[in-house]
Amino acid sequence: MYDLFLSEFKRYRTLAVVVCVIHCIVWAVSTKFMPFVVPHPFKMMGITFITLIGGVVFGLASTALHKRKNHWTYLVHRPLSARKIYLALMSAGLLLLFIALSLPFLAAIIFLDLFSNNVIELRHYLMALHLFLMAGCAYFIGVYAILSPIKAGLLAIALMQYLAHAVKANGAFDILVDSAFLLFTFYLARSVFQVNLSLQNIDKPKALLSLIALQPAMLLILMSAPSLYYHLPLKLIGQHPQNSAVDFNATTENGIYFQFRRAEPKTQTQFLLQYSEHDETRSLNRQSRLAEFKSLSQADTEPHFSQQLFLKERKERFALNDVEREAQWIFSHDLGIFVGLNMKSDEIIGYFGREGFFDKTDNVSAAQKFNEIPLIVDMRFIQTSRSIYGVDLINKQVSRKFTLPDTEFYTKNVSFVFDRAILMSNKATYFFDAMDFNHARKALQAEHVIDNPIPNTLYDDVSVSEVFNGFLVQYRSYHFGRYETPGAALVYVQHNGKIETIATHTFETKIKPDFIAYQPFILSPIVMNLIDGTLNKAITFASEPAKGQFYFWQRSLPQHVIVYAFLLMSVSALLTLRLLKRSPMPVQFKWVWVGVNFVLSLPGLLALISLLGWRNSVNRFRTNQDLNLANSQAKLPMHAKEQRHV
Amino acid sequence: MTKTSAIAIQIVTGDARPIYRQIVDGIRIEIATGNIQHGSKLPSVRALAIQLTINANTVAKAYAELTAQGLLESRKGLGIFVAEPKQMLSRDEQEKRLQEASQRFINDVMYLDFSPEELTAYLLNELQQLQTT
Amino acid sequence: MTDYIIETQALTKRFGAKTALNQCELNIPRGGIHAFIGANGAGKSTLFRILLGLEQQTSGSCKILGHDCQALTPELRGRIGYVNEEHTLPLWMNASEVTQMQRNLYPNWRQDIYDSVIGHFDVQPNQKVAQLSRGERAGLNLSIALAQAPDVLILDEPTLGLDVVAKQAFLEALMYTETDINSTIIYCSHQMEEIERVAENLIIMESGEVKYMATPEDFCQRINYWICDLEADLSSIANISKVLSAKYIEGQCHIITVDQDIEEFKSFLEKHGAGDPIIAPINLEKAISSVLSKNHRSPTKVD
Repeated sequence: MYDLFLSEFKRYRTLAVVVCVIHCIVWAVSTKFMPFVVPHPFKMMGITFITLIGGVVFGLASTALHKRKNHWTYLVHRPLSARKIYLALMSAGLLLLFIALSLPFLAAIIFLDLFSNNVIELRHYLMALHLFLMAGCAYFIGVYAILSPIKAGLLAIALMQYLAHAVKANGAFDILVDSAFLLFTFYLARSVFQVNLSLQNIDKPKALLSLIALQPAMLLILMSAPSLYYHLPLKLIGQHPQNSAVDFNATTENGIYFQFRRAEPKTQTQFLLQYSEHDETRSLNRQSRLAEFKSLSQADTEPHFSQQLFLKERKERFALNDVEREAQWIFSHDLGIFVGLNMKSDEIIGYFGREGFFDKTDNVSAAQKFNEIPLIVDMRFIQTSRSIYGVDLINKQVSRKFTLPDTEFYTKNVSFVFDRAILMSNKATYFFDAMDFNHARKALQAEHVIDNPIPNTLYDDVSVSEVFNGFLVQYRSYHFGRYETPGAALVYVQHNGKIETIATHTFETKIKPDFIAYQPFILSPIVMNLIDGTLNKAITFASEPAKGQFYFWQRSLPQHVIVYAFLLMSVSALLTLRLLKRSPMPVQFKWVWVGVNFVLSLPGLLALISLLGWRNSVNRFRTNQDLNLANSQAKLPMHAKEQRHV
Repeated sequence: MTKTSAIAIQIVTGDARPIYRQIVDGIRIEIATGNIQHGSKLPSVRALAIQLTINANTVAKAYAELTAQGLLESRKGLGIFVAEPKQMLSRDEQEKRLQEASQRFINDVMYLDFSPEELTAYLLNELQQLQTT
Repeated sequence: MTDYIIETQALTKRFGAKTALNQCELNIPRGGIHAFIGANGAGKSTLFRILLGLEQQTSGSCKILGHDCQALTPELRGRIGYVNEEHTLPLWMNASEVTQMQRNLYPNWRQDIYDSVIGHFDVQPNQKVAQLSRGERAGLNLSIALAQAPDVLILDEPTLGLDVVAKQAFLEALMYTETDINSTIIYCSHQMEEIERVAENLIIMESGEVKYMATPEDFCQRINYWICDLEADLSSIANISKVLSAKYIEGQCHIITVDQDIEEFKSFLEKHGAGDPIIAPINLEKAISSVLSKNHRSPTKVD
């Protein structure tokens, strides 16, 4: 077995080393433009892309080379069990992937850790591990796609979407998920690694792995199908709801949210004022024609976790840049404080925490440490989930400006509009005088506190405009009150302190039929919403809630939608039972399949049908037999012997 | 050590006669014409097979048939030897064979421009020459 | 425990509508060199793939070394050698590395056999396999296969594409290596010259069935090539089961029969008005090709 491992390793060794070297060169060159550890979306995407593509292409190519008729015979016809052959090949593959895709990163990290004062922590090392695990999973998926006895096996590539997952958790959890996935894909590829590659094992337990592997592709196909049978045909004949809706203006009744969003802010305000019964409605209407509108920041304030993988890092959580003094204050997850680094001389110039600046890290008090990964705003403010601090780099001072009550957390970072500093939490919106906010050395009191009109955190947008007597704040959300029911509210904040919600409107008009709008739920209520919600895969769909929020029990769905979903699940389960009726697998296992396809719903049923083959599936419905059944259960008609046989 | 005699025969593939028959015939002629002396040692099965580039079993079959015909004999531990000539066939069998061979000869020379007397004279000459070697 | 190294019973394999093997019955005894002959598409490759467990038959049984072909253990695989015309070997390794790998893999490895076989070929230990010529690679492959000391060695057109020298070296190495192991050799080839030299037993396959199994000379004796004058409708003669082919060449009727009693057929021909039917000699190649082309088209009248 070791010889086979060595042979396979030698085969691609040069290629792996070359890729590794190219990688290292690319890293070395790119650090001229941006230091290695500074996060950047393109960098993260590039790393992910190269790792996944590299892994899957290597899996596909190396396995395709082995699968050629004579080469496969050479590989498997030897006194070595299929299990050992598989292990030997896969170990070689993993080692090669490590060298090509993970080692460069690891080498760079180690180099920086040893020879510079850069903040290199566990999360960076975990990243190298994560890259390796990701590449390994992609590799196994490629191996499976080639070796699978059914053509649909190629669809397993859709599994890759889970690898680019954005799990909201710390690095250790990420690695755990990666490892679980690696184990799954390892056994998935193993399940099709057999001497006779055309043997279909639908009746064996391991076929469940294939079912699970094909399900994401089926779901994708189902989800893309509306473009073929709904969106495209309607657009072609000009009947698409989005196009055919009546134009939106200030006096439109009800209206469609999609158009509301695209209208000018003043039109939006005037539209909403239709529903206002306030005294000053008409005056506000006039003023809104000339008013200026500013949106509050839409930056991502979702919590980040300690030792979160390097891939998940964002510029806003990474460091405070001091361009004048060529310094960067990098946040250390290990220490919970900011470490000042002179970019030119690579010297440490100091540290700061919640209470102020200091020089040594010997006895950092708990009060100094940030207990979470803070958000860096405008290179001047540090925002945690409940507090906001101002940082004065010249005078080396840190001052806490404002802390939210216990039950609240910030949903947006601080915005500066109309001489005000505005903070928004999950419950309220806080107005401060901008000058006070910038210069205060101690905690401030808010000028105005607006209770948010709706209690969820998914505001599409919040915009502010200044009027004569105060401000108009417009809150709008795709899930205003109810899931998937958009709406907007207008709040009038007067300088004298009076705060009133003067208008709200819910857009009840649905432009898409329920079946289309609720498709993600109906087609796969449990998998798409539970597992995908947890793993938060890279692909999302327009009518899904924002990433990771709202599991299906948290939403208020129309009853008939729930019925559709349940119906589909049941039908899938029943049809699975029918398809497997005469299968020789033990009864308990048949029920496992039925249960799995109940959970997976329609995508699972489609995956089962593609595993069986369309013709066989139809056959199973009719006659309970497979075509070309090899075992003696089926009686085959005897062929008359040829006459001339002598 | 007994010197091994050479068997200078060749076999042809694509001939109507099977290979082992070609070997049998070939060796018989070699013995009959005196190229291989009586009592001399023949190459082993393997050696002749390598010489002719054919399956050793085919050679073994040929040797077996020649041994059954009495032309060769196998001496334990020493090898295959050409046997001293002795007649193994009965008188009737010999006559039958003579008749068959004559028939073949006559078939072949029938169309040539030789008179029976010329043919007989020629044959007599040839046979006499064989006797002297 | 049977004495048959390969046994198949009613072995059938269908690929969709196409039948590759049709109730194939085969029993190959232990020892000797058995030659497989058949046109392309006769089912030979399918048979070998099923024998090695790489495909599963549609119905029927197939056994090698007494065990079901679908359940070959690694240990059994170690006793079955397989060589085909591609002579697949890892191109990126050199000869000694490849040999070392095989040596570690096969418990019955015979280095003496390897040394004596490789001696027929010009292969240096540190030559990369990719740099070897086809003939040298074939030699290396054969050396490895024989050194495994297999109970049965299957060779599927191993000399295809080899030049004269390489082919000669290959055949010599195969036939004359002194081994005390009584391997059974299954040799598959299209080249009659090779077959004649090498085969002790012929197995002729056609349309997925084993049509004949006999020694070359026995087989030839069963085929008779008749030439006669006959004024008759040949299509009716051609359809008789023991007639392999019947055609006119410049007015004369040439009929090839198999397993047909000479006297019977002679009187049959005379009854149909044939004048002077004689039997012409026939060589192995002609005999085989007439058997194989029984169902193929050929002009019935050549003028």
